[in-house]
Amino acid sequence: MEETGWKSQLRSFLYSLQAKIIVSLLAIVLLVALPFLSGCTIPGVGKITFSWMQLFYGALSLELALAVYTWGVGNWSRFEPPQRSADSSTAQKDNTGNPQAAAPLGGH
Amino acid sequence: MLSLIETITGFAAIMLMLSLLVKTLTSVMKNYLDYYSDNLKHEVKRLVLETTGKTWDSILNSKDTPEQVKTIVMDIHWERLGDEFLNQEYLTWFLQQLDKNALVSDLGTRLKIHIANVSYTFQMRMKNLALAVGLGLCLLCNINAFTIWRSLYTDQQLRATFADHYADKATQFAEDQAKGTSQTNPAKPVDPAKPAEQSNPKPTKDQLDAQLKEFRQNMQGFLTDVSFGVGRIWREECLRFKDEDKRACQKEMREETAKKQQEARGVRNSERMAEVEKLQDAEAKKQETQKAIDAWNAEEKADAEAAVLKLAQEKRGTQSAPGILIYEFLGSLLTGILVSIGAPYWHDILQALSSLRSPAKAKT
Repeated sequence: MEETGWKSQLRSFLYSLQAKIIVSLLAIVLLVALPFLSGCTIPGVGKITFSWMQLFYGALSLELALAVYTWGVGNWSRFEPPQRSADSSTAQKDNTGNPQAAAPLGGH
Repeated sequence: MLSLIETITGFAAIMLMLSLLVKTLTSVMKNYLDYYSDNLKHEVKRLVLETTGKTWDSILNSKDTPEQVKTIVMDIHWERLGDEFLNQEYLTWFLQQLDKNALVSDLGTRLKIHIANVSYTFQMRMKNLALAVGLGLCLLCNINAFTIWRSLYTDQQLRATFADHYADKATQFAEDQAKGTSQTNPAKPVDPAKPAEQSNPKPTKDQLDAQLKEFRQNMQGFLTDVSFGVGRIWREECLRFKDEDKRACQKEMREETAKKQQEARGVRNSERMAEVEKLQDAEAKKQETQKAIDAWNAEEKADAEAAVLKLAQEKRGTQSAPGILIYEFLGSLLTGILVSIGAPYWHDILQALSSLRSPAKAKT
């Protein structure tokens, strides 16, 4: 049971890490790819008149602000209770005998 | 010494005004997204885990959980609840509904920790939200603290204006906003002792729209007042990586501008000549023709002078495009961080500087 809980925690950690890596890579790709749209004509939008440096600056600024938001305000900023399988009576007995200490304050 | 104090005063006034704008935008976002209810729900989930040993989702998904309990949980409107929900009486009942074996013996003590957690995490989230909003606003509008400081320090007239009128305006705005906030703060956590009916009141759509409109107006006012050090990166027409490309672009732009100006002069001249043609008297016609020629020459001279001035400015601007990008990015980043410190801080600095400045000004 202990091992299962540990494995499930590790799995959820790896999943969240994977999500973070994917989002970070997408951000880098956007930062590199967006400036190439300079001077292009997008149907329905029109010609992009910004230079590639302006597009790079805009993307970098936006990504920085979003990263701060996600880190400090979004769900990544919070401490999530461990997703353990606690439906069994064993887990509950352990918990009732020794109440869980207060978790870190909101991840800050 | 006085010029330095005036520069700091003007700078603090601009930062105060910007902080107030960030505060308004933060407030709008806070009211739209309701972080407080989210934190409250999160803390209750943690309490459920601690007392029952089961996660919130596992209780809701379990086949053993009675349908009645699931309905109770699904019916909770978190946005209507405040701290008073974390009351020992309510939660003992609620937790026992979720799980008959829930550990509720020392709930009172735990609840104090959870209430503290709700308020702490909410405050931290709001500080981080202000930082994100401040950075976003300053970076996207390209509000550069370095340029603002340099402009104030080098331009005496600008410094005097910002240290006097603008500082008063910013102080007045801060005081007005503080009064408004103390009267009605829609998403402020409530006193647990207050009855539940008054808890966590949601602002109406009209209030939110009014807040947004106020922000838009104030932002426009700010951009009009502080035109220096704002939006350079967006105004630069020839931001090119290589110097040759930059010069070629500048030349192209000059030629294009000259062509447009010539066309505009031609249109105006045609209009004038058409008016002249309507005249019957030969002498008057001759005089008006001469006037039209003079006007053409004056316009041509003015355009040529403007072109020479622009060329001189372009030649003087030795900063390379990557240099401009780095300078503007770092300057805007600094502004975002400074602005996120908070309006009360800049207000206090401004008050202190104003009192320091008055005797210094009297001496000179």
